[in-house]
Amino acid sequence: METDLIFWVFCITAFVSASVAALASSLRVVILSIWVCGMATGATYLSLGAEVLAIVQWIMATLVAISFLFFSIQFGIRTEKVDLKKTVLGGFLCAAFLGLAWIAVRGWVPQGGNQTFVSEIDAMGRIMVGEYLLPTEIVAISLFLVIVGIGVISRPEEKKK
Amino acid sequence: MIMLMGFVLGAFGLLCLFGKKTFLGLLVGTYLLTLGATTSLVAAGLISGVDSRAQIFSIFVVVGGIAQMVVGYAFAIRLFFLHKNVSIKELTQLRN
Repeated sequence: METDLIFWVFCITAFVSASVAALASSLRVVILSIWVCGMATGATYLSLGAEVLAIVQWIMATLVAISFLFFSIQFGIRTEKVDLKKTVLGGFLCAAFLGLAWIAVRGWVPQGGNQTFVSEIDAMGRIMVGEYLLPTEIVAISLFLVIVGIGVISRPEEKKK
Repeated sequence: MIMLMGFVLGAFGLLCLFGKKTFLGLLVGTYLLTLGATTSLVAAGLISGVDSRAQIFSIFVVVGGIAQMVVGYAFAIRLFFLHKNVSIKELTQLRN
C-alpha cells in the first residue's frame, strides 16, 4: 500500500512536470521541469526495484538540465513563445497516439506474479558482456562517432581567402 | 499503469515537438520522448517478467538518448554560428 502511494506520488509529479515542460514559455521553468520529471521518473523506477536504471536516470536528468541551462545562457534565450495553433493540433495528435497505444497494449497480461524488478547488477553485467556484447559494442562505437561528429559539426567555418 | 505513464510522457514530448519554436525546445521534446520510451520498456519488462533484459535495453535507450542530445546541441551551436539565433525557422541550411 505504501509502495503504491509512493509510486503514484512520483508518477503524478512526472506527469505535471512533463506538462509544464511542454507548455511553459520561460526556459528556466522548462529546464527545472525536465529535471524534476527525470528525477521523478527515476524515483518511479526505484519504487519498482530497478535501482541501476534509477541511478542512470538521475545522472542523465541532472546532466541534461545542466547542459540546457548552459546552452540557454550561451544562446541568450530566456523565453520562447509557444505556437498555440500547433500546440492544439499537437494535442489532438497526442490524444490519438495515446488512444492507439492504449488499444495496442490493453490486452497485455502480466506473465509473472512478481510486479517488481529483482535488480542484480552481477547478472546484468554478465548478460551485457555475454549475450548482448555486439549491441554494447555498437553503442560504444556510436558514442565514439558522436564525439568525433560533434567536433566536426560545431566547428566554426574558416573564411575563404 | 507504468505503461500508461510512459505513453503520457511520450505524448507530452510530441506536444513539445509540435509547439516549440526554438531548437532547444525541440531537444526538450526529444528528451521527453526518450523518457517515455525508457519507461515503456521498463513496463514491458515488468509485464513480461523479464527483469534484467528490460533494464539493459532501457540503459541502451538512455545512452542513445544522450548521444542524440549531444548531436542536437552540436547542431544548435552550428545554427547559432550561422544565424545568431536558434529559431527553427532559420533551419534551412547548415553551411554558409
